[in-house]
Amino acid sequence: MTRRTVRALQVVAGAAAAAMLIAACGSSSKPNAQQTTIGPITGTAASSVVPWAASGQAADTTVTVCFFSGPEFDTIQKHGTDFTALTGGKIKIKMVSIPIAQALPVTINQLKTSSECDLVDGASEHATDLNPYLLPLGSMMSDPALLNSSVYNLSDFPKGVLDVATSAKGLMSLPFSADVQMIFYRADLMSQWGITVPKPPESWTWQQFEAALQTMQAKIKESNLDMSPIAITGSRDASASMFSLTSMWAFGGNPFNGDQPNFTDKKAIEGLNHWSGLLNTLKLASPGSPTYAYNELLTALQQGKVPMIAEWNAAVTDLNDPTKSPITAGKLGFALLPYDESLPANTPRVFPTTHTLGISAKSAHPREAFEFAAWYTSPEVALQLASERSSGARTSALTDPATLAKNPALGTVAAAGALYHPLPNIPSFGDLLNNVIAPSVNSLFTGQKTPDQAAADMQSGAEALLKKAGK
Amino acid sequence: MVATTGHSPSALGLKPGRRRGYLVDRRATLLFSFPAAALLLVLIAYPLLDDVRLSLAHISPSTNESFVGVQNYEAVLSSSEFWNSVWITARYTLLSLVIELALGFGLALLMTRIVRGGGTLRTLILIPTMLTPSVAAINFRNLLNYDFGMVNWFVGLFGIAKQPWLADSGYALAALVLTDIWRSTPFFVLVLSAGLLALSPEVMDAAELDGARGWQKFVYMQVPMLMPLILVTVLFRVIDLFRTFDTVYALTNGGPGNSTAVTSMQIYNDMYVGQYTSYAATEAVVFMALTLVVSLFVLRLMRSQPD
Repeated sequence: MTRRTVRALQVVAGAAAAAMLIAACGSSSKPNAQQTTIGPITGTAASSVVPWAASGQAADTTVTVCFFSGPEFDTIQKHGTDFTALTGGKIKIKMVSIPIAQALPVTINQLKTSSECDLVDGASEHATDLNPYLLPLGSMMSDPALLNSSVYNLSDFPKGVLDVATSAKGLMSLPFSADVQMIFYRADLMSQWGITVPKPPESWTWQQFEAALQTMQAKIKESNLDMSPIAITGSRDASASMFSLTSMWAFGGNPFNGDQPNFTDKKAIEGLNHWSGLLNTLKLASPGSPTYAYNELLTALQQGKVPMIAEWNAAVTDLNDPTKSPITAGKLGFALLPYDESLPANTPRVFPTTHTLGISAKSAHPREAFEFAAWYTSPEVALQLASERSSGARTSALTDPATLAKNPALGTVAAAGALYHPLPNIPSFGDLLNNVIAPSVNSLFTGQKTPDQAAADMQSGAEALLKKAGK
Repeated sequence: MVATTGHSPSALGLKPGRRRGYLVDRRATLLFSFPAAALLLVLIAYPLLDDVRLSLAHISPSTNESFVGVQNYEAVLSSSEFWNSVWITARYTLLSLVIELALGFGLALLMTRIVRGGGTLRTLILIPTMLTPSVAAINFRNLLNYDFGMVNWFVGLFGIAKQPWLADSGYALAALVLTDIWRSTPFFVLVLSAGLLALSPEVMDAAELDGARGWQKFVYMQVPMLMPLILVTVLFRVIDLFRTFDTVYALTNGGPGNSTAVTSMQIYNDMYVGQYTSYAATEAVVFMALTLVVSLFVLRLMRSQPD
């Protein structure tokens, strides 16, 4: 080996060692996971809803909850210990984490092949795929030994929330979280520009909404601001698909005819036309909209690049936090998504995204699992969850005066929840959102396709998907 | 050593006692290599064979048939979506590879001329390759953001209007290529600069004495002498680029529309989002075969190189 070869090898080895060292240093720091700070719930109201569990008569059992990693997982884990205390230590809750990106396949696999999971997340977009493997809850819901139905008060859930948890076999899971899409706006700027935004449950018609955005554009121009009137999402993901469906529903469109795709419906195309028209025709939306996902919409508002966004309620906490969002904190107003002027104001147009607890049909402890699910979705726990997060599945929790005083956005969340549109009973609905609707919406927003072409693509894509799914 | 030559003991002229020793050695060799060979077989062959098995079944959210013949292959081979993703992957691979090779060679040549601090520079230049691809992609996504990206701020300084870079199919593919160039060119620089340093100075001096100058030396001496190294590096990069998923997922998520949906992403979506297990397994088998063809072509080029 020549000296030059040795030197060359030394160079490579030295560089590689330095690279590994730097990489190791880089990977040693990790941000802290978000902490939830919810207090214990073991009071009388909490115990009265599940009399059998609270009586301490259950045998020593461990109920396993399989859930995707995230804040919902942390909260269930936290309250699992409260529930165990309530049962006199008899029913323990064990959490099994599932990677969020593989939530559906892993959950289905668990439900199909083992009895390890007693409870799983019956998320709305996966409900059709999961329901065949869940235990119908009807008999347990009507058993007074297991559930005090008057305290539980099923009618406290908005109809749209219960609809997504129900199949032909009846109620399949119990909801504890329901998210909505809504309009976030800078109330300070609206007041400065003389624009009045209707307070929920009132809302703009689509035509009033467009007119207001045009006024905003004129004011922005007058003030010579580096701003667009609104940022919306047209990115290639499931969230953009959900928003595009809301626009179709807002115009009375029917993109699903029963269990069949029907994207070429005229009203649905009209909705798509108006939604993408905010960017392509009226030039009111930020040109970044075709690439903006949840976090980028948030950032655009946080950095004062837009005075209005159409976004998920989950953003409320960050946008109202003065340390994270000094420009928007305390200055935000919240409104409902608009609807076409030819339709009634209560036109269902919000995409229901719920998280529920469903019992595995193979569960060895269905009664214990039911008691935990019922307790976790009871009015008292719902109130506690709503006070900590800007979300909730129960109307009583979202409209509670004390909670509303603390978080006024919850009023809009409740009003939007009342506008949930039913979801179709289509298999692989998550795939439809991600891989059929999302690319078409993105093509529409980037000007590659017209609304008619995008709708035709959605239709043919959905038909191909159903064929691929074996239907 | 004898056992590994492949010659028989008698052919080697060994006596009977030595012959027994040879057989014991041979058995011992086989015995000791068996666990490693078995492990390799399990780790490599089993997943591949299982993938082929899945591709011959029909497993999807609503179906579970263990054997359907070549039905999935017919579906995948006639799918315009799949071939479109292969075409996107090929364009992405070719563009990235050509630019990275040219740029990498140029920088490697420049670095051989650095007398002091070359080692430090080589280490520094390697930093982008250490970044997780998805982190690099997120950084580029932020840089290219319409409202608050640094690229738009920069072009604004020259009076150029802001652009929604990632909303244009041409720019989006260019952004993907750019991200990979930024991250992977240092790999070429590192390998090629090591190769250049290892070239015999006597040969280069002789070429100079024969009147070869810069460009001639590069074309007729350095490139041919480094060709085996270049081809190995190209092979690694081709395989790596064909497998790209994280960069695309984090930067464009396959958009605008489907214009940057590379094959890995197509397979991921079918497997994890759609759960068409068998269909995705078939796409994986077909794409693996395509990767193998390209890799064998590069390997053949390598073998055709004179020693």
